[in-house]
Amino acid sequence: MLQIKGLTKTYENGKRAASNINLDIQDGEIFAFIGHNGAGKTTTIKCVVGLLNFEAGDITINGFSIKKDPIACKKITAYIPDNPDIYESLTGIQYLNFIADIYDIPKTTRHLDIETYANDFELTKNLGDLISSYSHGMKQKLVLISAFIRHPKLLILDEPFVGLDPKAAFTVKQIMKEMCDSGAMVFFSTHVLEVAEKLCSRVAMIQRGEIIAYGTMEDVKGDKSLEEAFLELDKHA
Amino acid sequence: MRKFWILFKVNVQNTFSLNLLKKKFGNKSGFLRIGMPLITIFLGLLFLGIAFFYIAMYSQVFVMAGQYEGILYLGLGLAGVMMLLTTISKAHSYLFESKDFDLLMSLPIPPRSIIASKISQLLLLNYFSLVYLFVPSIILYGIYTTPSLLFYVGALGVFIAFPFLIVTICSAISYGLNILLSRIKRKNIFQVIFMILFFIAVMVGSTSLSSSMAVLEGNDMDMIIAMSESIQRIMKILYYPGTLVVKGLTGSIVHYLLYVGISILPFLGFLVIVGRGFVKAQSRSKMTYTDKNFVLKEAEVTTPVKAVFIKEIKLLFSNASVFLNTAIGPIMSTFMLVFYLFTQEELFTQLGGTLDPGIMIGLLIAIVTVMGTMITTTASSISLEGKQFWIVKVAPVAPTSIFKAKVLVNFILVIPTTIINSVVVAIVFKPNLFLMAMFIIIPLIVNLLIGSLGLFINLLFPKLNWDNPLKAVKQGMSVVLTMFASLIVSAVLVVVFVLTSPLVGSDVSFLLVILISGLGLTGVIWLLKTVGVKRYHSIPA
Repeated sequence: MLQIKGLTKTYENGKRAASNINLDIQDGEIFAFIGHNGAGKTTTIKCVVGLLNFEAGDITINGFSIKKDPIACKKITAYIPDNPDIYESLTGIQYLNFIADIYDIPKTTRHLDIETYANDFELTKNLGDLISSYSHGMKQKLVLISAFIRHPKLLILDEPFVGLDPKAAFTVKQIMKEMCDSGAMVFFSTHVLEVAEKLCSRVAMIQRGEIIAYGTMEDVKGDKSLEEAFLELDKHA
Repeated sequence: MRKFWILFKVNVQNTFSLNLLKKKFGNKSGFLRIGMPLITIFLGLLFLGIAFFYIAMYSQVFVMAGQYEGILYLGLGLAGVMMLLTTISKAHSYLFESKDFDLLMSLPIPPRSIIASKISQLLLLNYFSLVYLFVPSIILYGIYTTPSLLFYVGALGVFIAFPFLIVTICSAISYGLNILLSRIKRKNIFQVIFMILFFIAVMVGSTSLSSSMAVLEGNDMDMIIAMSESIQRIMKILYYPGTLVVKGLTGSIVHYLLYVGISILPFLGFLVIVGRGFVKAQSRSKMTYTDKNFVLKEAEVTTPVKAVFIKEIKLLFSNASVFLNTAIGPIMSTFMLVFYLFTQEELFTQLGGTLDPGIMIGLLIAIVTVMGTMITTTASSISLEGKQFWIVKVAPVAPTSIFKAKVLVNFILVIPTTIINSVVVAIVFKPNLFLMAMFIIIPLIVNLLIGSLGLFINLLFPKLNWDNPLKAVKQGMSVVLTMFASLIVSAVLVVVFVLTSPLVGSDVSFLLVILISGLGLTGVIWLLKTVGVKRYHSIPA
């Protein structure tokens, strides 16, 4: 289970990007995190994966605190950033093997998984090329493959569908569902509210660093669409 | 022209992170707001003082010989060589590796304005070299000859025109190399080899010139005059247009105009010619080898620390400019040692006959160590992570393991050069086993110390926001501070050796140097494990 308790993050310039955020995501759940640009989604996500320090609150993943035991948390988490900035002078396969080595993925499993996911994303024939020759979408696919081969307990994705072709986006959604079926948690931010509505069991909306709505999809949107609910909440917040 | 100025202004603002500095230090009180600019100014003045001191020292030969023009030749020659070496290693990166090319090409700006704005950054960096090498010679010449105001006005013109020719030559070489290597699979390796050969050629050229200096015979004044003439001859060859500058500054307007002409006109010509093919050249530089027959095979499994280490090595060699600006020190120190020992054998044999073997080896250790540690890969290794820093930060690898991998890369580069150095010294001087051991241990332990210190400094002053990897190296505060720290550490060790060896003998002094370096290394490791780890976590990715 992912638990975010009283998370508060203030940047050096004094901007409070997250204010007393409380969320919990259960095993086997796909959770959507939505909000405006600059609302605090990426900051929250970066705190969860240990990229940013925060001054108050705690975040635990399967009982491990990101503050006290970051390595244990990171071992079971996979993070996909909003922009696939990866080592451009490595080849695709070198990057995947680098990640596999870092996460101690055994030889046989890694080969099989790389093959499976690379085929799913139609990237196999490009794995021998330098990442610098990849398009934005290909880089995004590579980062996704590097996350999936880890079989993480918690998958965190920041705007995962940006730059993906429709087929790849469909594949990602399928894999997310399969992961949840096997008991993993998926926590992702998105601006594509239709996807969130169809895919997720629960949702949280953030505005100016504060959670303005949080619960099951039905509770949050009621009888409206998620888009209408979001716009309405946004107007009144 | 207007568009060039707009680009230039934005480039300067971006390159020197002016907005960030204003924001970062403008809001802070106390040390950061006042202290950091003061430290920067202090370091700048300190380096200027050192440069001034050395130029003044060498200028004494010209003063004593009454050949004051030699001071100008000295400044011009040194500045010319320095600018040639530093610009050739940067040109490719500035011209072809900027990430803003696509954006700029989509704007209604002529390609020659884009290339001019890129080259202007190279020019700007060269003006810093000129301040340290050319300006002191102008001041010294002014002190000794009290020329008219016109001399200084002329010198200002020379100062402005000076870098144009060298930047044009280096850009043209880089442009040609880009065309030649565009279809080669491992073009970075070829670039690295070419650059090393270029460095060696320039150094061999300069050294051969020094060894061809006039044989100094006769009375003292004759010797001084001969030496003065020899140095001037060398400097004229090192920077050939220097003759025009000196004649121009000492009264010949024709020579002066000729100099300005040969500096500026090739530059303008280059802009016009290259401006036409710049788009093609850019796309060529971005061309990468693709493996059409790639077959997925089972890979070798390795440990996380080893994986990080291998990644660091691959990244270091992936960019020729970054490699040359971070890892060239040990290679060049070995080259210099080998070259000098075999070409100046007589000099070293004479020294070997008069000096205690321990002192002789101590001297060589000091030279090799200082040269090998002046530039370290670690001083910019955090900065070079740039926007990819998130990858290692989210990985389940302890920061100390990341640190180990980064220091190890720096250390590994020194091992082969240290072995070559020791073999060469063993052949030439045939020292005993103890001195041989010292020749290996001291450079290695000092390298570990400086490497760790460089990493710690980089953790304190990371520069992750760059559009060109070379900027993380050349424009990072940590690199300057590490160079300064390296000089201080080397100076302390040399002073300890010099002061203690007459009292306790050179053997004990060597052990003392090792002990002090070991203690320093322990201290830096402790700093990395405590403050360093905290800093690592707090650097936003």
